[in-house]
Amino acid sequence: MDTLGKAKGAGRLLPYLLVAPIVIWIVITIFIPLFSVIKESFYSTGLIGSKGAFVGFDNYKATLTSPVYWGAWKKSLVWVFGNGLAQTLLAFGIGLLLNKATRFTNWARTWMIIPWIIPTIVVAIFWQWIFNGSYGIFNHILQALHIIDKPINLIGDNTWSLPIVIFINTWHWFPFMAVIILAGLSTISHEMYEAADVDGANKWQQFWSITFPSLGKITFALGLVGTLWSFNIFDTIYILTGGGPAGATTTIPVMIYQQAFESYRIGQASATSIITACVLIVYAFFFIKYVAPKED
Amino acid sequence: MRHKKWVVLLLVVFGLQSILAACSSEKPEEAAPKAADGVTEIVLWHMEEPPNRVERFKEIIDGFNQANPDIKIISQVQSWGDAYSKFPAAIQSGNGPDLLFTIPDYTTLIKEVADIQPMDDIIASLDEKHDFFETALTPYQYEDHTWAVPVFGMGQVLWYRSDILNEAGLTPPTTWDELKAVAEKLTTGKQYGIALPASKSMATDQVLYSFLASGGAKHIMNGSNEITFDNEKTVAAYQMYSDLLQFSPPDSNTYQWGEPQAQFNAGTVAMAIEKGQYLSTFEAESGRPASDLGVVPMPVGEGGEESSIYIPNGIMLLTGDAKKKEAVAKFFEYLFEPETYGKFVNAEPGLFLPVTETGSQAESFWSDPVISKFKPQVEVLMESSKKGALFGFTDGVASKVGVIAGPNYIAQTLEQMTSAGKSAQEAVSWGQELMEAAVK
Amino acid sequence: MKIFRYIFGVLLTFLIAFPFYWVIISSFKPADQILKPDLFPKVFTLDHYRELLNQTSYLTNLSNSVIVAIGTMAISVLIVIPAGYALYRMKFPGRRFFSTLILATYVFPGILLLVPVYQLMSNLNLVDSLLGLIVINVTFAAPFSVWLMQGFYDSVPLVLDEAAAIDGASRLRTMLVIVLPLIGPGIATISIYAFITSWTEFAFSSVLISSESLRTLPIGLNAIMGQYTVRWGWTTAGATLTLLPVVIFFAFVGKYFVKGLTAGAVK
Repeated sequence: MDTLGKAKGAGRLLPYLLVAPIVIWIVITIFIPLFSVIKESFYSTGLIGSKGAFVGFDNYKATLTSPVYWGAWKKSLVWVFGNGLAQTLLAFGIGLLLNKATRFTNWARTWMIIPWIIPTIVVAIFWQWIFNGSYGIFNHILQALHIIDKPINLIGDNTWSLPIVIFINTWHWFPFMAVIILAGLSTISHEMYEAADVDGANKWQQFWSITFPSLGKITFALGLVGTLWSFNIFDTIYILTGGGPAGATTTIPVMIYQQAFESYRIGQASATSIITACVLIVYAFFFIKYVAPKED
Repeated sequence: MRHKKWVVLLLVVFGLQSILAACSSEKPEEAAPKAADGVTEIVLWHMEEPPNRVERFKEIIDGFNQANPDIKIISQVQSWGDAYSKFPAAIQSGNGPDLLFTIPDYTTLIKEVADIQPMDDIIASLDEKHDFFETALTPYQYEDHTWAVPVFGMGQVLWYRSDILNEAGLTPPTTWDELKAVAEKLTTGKQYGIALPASKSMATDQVLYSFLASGGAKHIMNGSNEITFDNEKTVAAYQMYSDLLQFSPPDSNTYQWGEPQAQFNAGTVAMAIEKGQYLSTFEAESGRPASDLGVVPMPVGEGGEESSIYIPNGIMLLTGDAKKKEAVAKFFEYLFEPETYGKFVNAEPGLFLPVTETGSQAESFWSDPVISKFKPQVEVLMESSKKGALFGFTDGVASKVGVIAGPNYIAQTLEQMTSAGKSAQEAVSWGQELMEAAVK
Repeated sequence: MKIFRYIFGVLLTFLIAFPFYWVIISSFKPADQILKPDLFPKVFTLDHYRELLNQTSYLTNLSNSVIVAIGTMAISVLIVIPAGYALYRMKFPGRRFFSTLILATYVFPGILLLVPVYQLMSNLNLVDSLLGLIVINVTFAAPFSVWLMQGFYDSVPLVLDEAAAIDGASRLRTMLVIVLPLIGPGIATISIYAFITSWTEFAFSSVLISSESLRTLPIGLNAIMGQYTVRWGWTTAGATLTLLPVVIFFAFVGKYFVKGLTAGAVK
């Protein structure tokens, strides 16, 4: 270890040189633009590019006291939990189904990921076409089975729209989660299960005592990055429902978009983003602190 | 030791940022005059994305470029979806176009961030030659100037399937009461009386506004941006709309532009309130003869008047460059020549209506195969568009109408009835409150 | 238990495959049949495809998408591999800070960065250029790729680096000559990840590109859907054409991607 631990002279700079390109890249494309978001959050800017007056914390106050903002949080939480739950269940299901390496499972593992590789707009077209309230195949099937007598309009329904959009997004993303979980499962050695078999543990007990704990790092990563990813998803919801009907699918990112580009309140939207980002940072902090698997 | 590194890193970051800032402040000078070889280049952005429109606009512009070798108009297709996010940013950073298509409320909005040029001279000379319709011009005239050249108008009418109405022995409605009665009678089994959009969208805004206009409630705000939305007649119009929704397909609240038309052509609905885009696809998609496409002006509500929404689309000038301005004037001269102009508006026959007297009589307009086939229908469209109105431009020009149109508050008010279960009066009061907050 | 697995498998297959089947099959139905629920078209037609290819710039869009995806792929690999080497095989003050900073990218709602990123790109003269799209796609692809590389780097024993150091090889040489060949599957995995991320990106492409000749496929498809007409024939054909290239691409490389992820990613 010593031979690697103490690099001397120019060698000490090497790691910094190696990480520099990506760090500079991210700083320029994310953090510098972020400065202008922070700045705008203190101005009354309307349409992008118009000159607003300095208003101090007014935008922050307005967001924090807005019932619409907290309503959007409720939808965002439903969105994140709904997606998390549905995707984890499906992904684990697939993971356990395809965990044994055979020719067939190898083939299936590759092709099951296909919903993830297609653009969101195509996903939206797929499901709009299936769920279409007038001539969607889904309605035809339900009517043929006499479950309903009139076509229903799930994407535009006040109660159903959020669950349906969650379902569609789950369809788009669970294959990716499944691959990651498969990756975790492949690290568990067979001997552990065999030993458990000898001890007389049933499959269910094995899952909770061996499989689940071995996926520590995976669950951690999915819990952190996956949650942030899914929280910030905008395009799927916006293309499918535009946040409607009557705000039923207006999650936080959709609300931010609407404030910025429909109501032309860039300052307000910036403040909303900053407040939201702070909440996410706090979440990430506690998640890393309490849930992170111990290193080494 | 460690802290030092952070300081260095931060310095690098801020150094980079200031270099970027420096670059940006230098740029406009090098970007502006591009006409090195004596050719004046004009960049035009339009938002008419369907391929047939793109193609026709290109033909017209190519024709102009060929006739004027010293001018080159470069047309780029954009999307209305980006008009509120990308365009202002583009204009501000010097990447914007010289000519930009617009609608009246977009002009009031973009005026805040862009240096829109008054077009009084160009308008005056065109008006003398071709005689603009008042309804097309006034929404662009305020603060002592005309801020865009109107190029085509869009008006709404009531479309009906005369085959379906005839079979039921009904005549096309002229009043709201008749409209409701006809819609009710034609709603049977798998067929619906009328297709109305009820989503939060511009499409819903527009159809709803046709009801406001024909129900005597066309003034939703005045020239000093006071909201006058909450009144009896508005409530009556919303009540009417939500009553009619019973006779509209169950997925109406996801409808935007295309769905009512698709239902209408499929024969699953008998009526729809929309603009002129119904002409070109009717025969092919419905498999019925042109005479089955019936049209009457928007029916009138009690205490209302014959009116519906009318949206004059225009082109704004965003460059102050004298040479470019001269070239642009030439371009408009060419565009409004009757033989070119008819071809231009027929990029989407029926949807784009002429805004000049000479244009509306032009041979090049009426000789289009679609227009000539649907001549009686086109005449109804043109007649009713002269009585049209546009919210925010009825009682003086409301400079803040953009913030009412952008979030689709007119449509959102309806959603409060259809999704949130409010009464018409409650919903309209809710709308009034939101609009007041928005213009503050 | 076995029958349960079987049923679950069939249901999942149906769930994944049906939307593809339904949209693709619809795109071959003539305009007057497309609204009918026939599971198999009575008449096949290529009309929608013919019209689309004639009237839209599908091929240009396709080549733009490919250029951007390959560019994103190349740059991502070039900046992720060294960063991963430093973060996972070297010890230096600030290591944790850098890895947190890289992943912090995902905390901010990308949608609000649209405008500032536009202004930034405009300062760099990268608006309305494919290079600008590559730059922003790398930003979204690279952080997760760094995380993905951890498993691959961890699977190469540190003893190798130590042995190389004893032989007098520099760290840089060790990285390039000894470690790099051993993380091939990792490189393949993050390349494909970057490719897909770039292929599916929508919001920034639509804002950063003005010229029709520089549009990528999703933007082109969005334009096809237009604003006034719902033409399910065109929409389904457009969707099919948009997913086709990436599915073909995946048919060749998907195996390595999934294998790479499952085999090396998590140790």
